[in-house]
Amino acid sequence: MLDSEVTSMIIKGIGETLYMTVFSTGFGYLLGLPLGIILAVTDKDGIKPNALLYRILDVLSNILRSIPFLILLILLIPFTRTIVGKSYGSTATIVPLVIAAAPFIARMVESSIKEVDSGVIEAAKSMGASTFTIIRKVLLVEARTSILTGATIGVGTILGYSAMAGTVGGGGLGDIAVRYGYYRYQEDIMIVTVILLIVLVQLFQLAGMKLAARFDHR
Amino acid sequence: MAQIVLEHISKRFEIEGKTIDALADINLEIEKGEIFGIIGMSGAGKSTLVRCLNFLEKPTDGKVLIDGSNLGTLTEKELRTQRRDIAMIFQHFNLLLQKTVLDNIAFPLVIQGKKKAEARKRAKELLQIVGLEEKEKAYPSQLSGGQKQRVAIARALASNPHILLCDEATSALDPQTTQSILNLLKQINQKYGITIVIITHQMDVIREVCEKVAIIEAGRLVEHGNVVDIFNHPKSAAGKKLIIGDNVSATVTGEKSQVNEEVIVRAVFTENSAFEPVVANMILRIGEPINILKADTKNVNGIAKGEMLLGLPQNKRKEITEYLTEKGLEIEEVEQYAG
Ligand SMILES: Nc1ncnc2c1ncn2[C@@H]1O[C@H](COP(=O)(O)OP(=O)(O)O)[C@@H](O)[C@H]1O
Ligand SMILES: [Mg+2]
Repeated sequence: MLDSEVTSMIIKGIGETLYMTVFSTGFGYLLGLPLGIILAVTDKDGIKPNALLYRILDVLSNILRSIPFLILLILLIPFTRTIVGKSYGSTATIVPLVIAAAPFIARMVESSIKEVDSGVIEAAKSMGASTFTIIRKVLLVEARTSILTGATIGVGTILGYSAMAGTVGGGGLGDIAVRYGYYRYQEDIMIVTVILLIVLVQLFQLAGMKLAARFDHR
Repeated sequence: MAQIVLEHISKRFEIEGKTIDALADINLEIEKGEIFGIIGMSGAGKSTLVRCLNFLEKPTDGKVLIDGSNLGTLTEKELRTQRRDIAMIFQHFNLLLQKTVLDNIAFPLVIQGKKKAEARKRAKELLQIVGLEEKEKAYPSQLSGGQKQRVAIARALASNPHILLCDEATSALDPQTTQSILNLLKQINQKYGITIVIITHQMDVIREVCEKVAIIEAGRLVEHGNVVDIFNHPKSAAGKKLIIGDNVSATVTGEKSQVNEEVIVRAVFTENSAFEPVVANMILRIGEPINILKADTKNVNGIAKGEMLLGLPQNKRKEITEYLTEKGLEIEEVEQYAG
């Protein structure tokens, strides 16, 4: 059943899945990290409360998070087309993946930052640290482990979403699983791709947790 | 002018429609080079007061003058610069858990924009001052409470402050470690002339290191002055409670005394009188039994002070009081707070 043609297709699928996951996570953090920091800082117990700004970002990220991913993907088709030039394939899938991941990442970053001991922040203030310095040298440093742990969860979720995007022609392992398992009833190929997806998630998980533990000195 | 001047400081918190007057009209002056204690029960407003000294808490009313500069008139930026002169240590140390001891100490300098190498060099000197040279690469989680507080003190000294604020800095430590931290603070005060403000709810801490003390209760300054004077003659109810302690009432109400119609007095004596068996002689002379409810010797600023709570028979009270006063003891009635 797994002739060389199928094998090379699966290898290509792994490559596409990794490509989508890595880039979506990267861009997701590019948007989500600052967003999460702003949420944590502007909340009423934050170091620079700003009710209006918090409210806007809070509502925005909640709306985005409550739209099911597949629907978001379809809603974003015109937007994706303007950015990438087409609306199918793995590169195009990165766009909705980033939009779906960013608010979710922001929430995780926000909660990681809020875990930082308020006493340490108070100490930094008493030394004359500015808000920006506190963010850079206290919050991000002390929350580092927690942010990394969050990223590990994030990668797993994004990988799952990317497989979902496969069902509408997004490429990658999810695409293969749907095309062969659902449309052609070749369950063996579907099972292989599912196992590969599970293995990939596990590997990311393991690497992420190891990395987080290495950086933790608590 | 005094180094720290508080004029009519009030602080009101509004939470969910309720208002809390955490501080009410506090006036206080702290001189340069002093070790000044602020004592009060939990919730009295001590932390709020000390946080007003570096404007981590902005008073609702009143003025804070540090070295002549009025904190209320400074811009945010000027205030941050001013804070470099006012270091602070805390009950729970508040060290950065993800940084080594050395980098924790270098931290205030890094914040000020100093080069990392330069900051670390200074941090090493400071580690020596607090006696933790061998711990420079350790992380806070690997240190004991006393060691953590030493690191916090070293960190506080990094920017050469004029003032060191200590908010319950020894409250999480055992008595021996408390002693060693207090000794370190004393040493720092003497060596560098840094003014130290010590916030605590423990009278022993005040007695051990402070020259001056202020007592606050429910946001009000009820008494302040020299530690020796206040220790000998606390005037306010809060002062009496802190100094004489709650065990008076426990002892007195707990067991019925054998002495009829007992009057309780507090007798304080110094080194000189501690040698003579004053009480024994007095009993022989009066020929009546008296109750010793509590007896203790304490070190107040290096002078041995004895303190006793005596239950005296009502009818001999005048006689006994006169006798003890003649022998150089200071006598004061405390019965009214016994219940
Ligand atoms: N940020 C705050 N918001 C509301 N109430 C506060 C705040 N900080 C302190 N308080 C209240 O002010 C009073 C004094 O608190 P605090 O200064 O912490 O006392 P202490 O340090 O003497 O135990 C308490 O009643 C406390 O609940
Ligand atoms: Mg307190």
